[in-house]
Amino acid sequence: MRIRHIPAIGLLLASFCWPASGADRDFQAVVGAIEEHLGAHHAHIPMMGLANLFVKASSPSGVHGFELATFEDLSYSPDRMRDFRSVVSDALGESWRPMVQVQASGRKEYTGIFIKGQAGQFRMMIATIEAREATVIEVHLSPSQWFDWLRNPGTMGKRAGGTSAREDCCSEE
Amino acid sequence: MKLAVCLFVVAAGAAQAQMLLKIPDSFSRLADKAEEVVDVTLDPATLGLASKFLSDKDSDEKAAKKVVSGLKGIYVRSYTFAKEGEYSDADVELLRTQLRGPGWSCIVNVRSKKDRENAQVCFFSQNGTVAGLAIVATEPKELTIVNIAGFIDKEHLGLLEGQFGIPKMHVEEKQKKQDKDDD
Repeated sequence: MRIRHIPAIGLLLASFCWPASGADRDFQAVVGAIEEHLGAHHAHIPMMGLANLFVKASSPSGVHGFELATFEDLSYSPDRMRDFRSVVSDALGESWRPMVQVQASGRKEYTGIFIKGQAGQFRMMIATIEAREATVIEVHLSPSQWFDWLRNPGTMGKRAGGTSAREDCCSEE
Repeated sequence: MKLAVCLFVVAAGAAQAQMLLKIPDSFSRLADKAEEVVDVTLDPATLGLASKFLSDKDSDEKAAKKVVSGLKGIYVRSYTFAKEGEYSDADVELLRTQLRGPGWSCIVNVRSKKDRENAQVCFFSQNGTVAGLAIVATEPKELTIVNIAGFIDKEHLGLLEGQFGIPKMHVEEKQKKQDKDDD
């Protein structure tokens, strides 16, 4: 590899990894709203840019990109748990449609899945809060992949929330 | 002419309101008691996205598009409780009362004394066609409400079961089993 190619490659990588592009403005809005609500900053995840670059290049399972933010070591508060849904929903605005909500009070868990169609792709925002941690994931899906998820939205909540949703809900036997 | 259009719009809006079950306010109390509440909302905008992007080339997607294109909404609410007796017959009656309203007819009522399971399947008819569906299913520790708005071909019902958040109720099997027990 010639040395003069390195700046160009660097710019290309930066274009893939730049976190605050127009497409993920909604993600940043949700993360900001959650930070304010929980009074905590999201944790730094090493190598996220590289992982996203890999996903964008290879599109595993129809996923063309993702954003991820985690919040750890939270102190449990019933009020924070109760208001989490409206905080996420308000931050996303009306262009995002709420699709699945799973509230497991006993396990102190809530998962919300929101969807938005844009420019031939679907964007799915999954926000989860548990007693001590919270996670926000945005994935960019192809229409066919989104449809697969749409057919099994309960399972989607289950995957996102780890253990939620009824066992017999929505899954193929 | 304007009056006729206005009356049509008002009538269509009223029918739309009737085919959507109203979750009683008292159910927020059930949500507090439930171990888990699953709420699936596929509103007209979400279903519109689905039919817009589904392919006509892929046979599965084409079949699904045909089903989804007539629908105006799929709403599923499921409450799972840790122990029995957390919801009462009076709670369920608040839903069943709505299903006795104009336009609704319940064609399947499955009652299993042994398992204490009930499932009621009701259709909302408008101008001679099925324009809505509701299922209220109860088990000792579970209460599930499914409400589908829009044109539904009865042949497609089996396709919807187990998809789009609609639980597998096995209503046909239960009905056959009950018919057999009755004989």
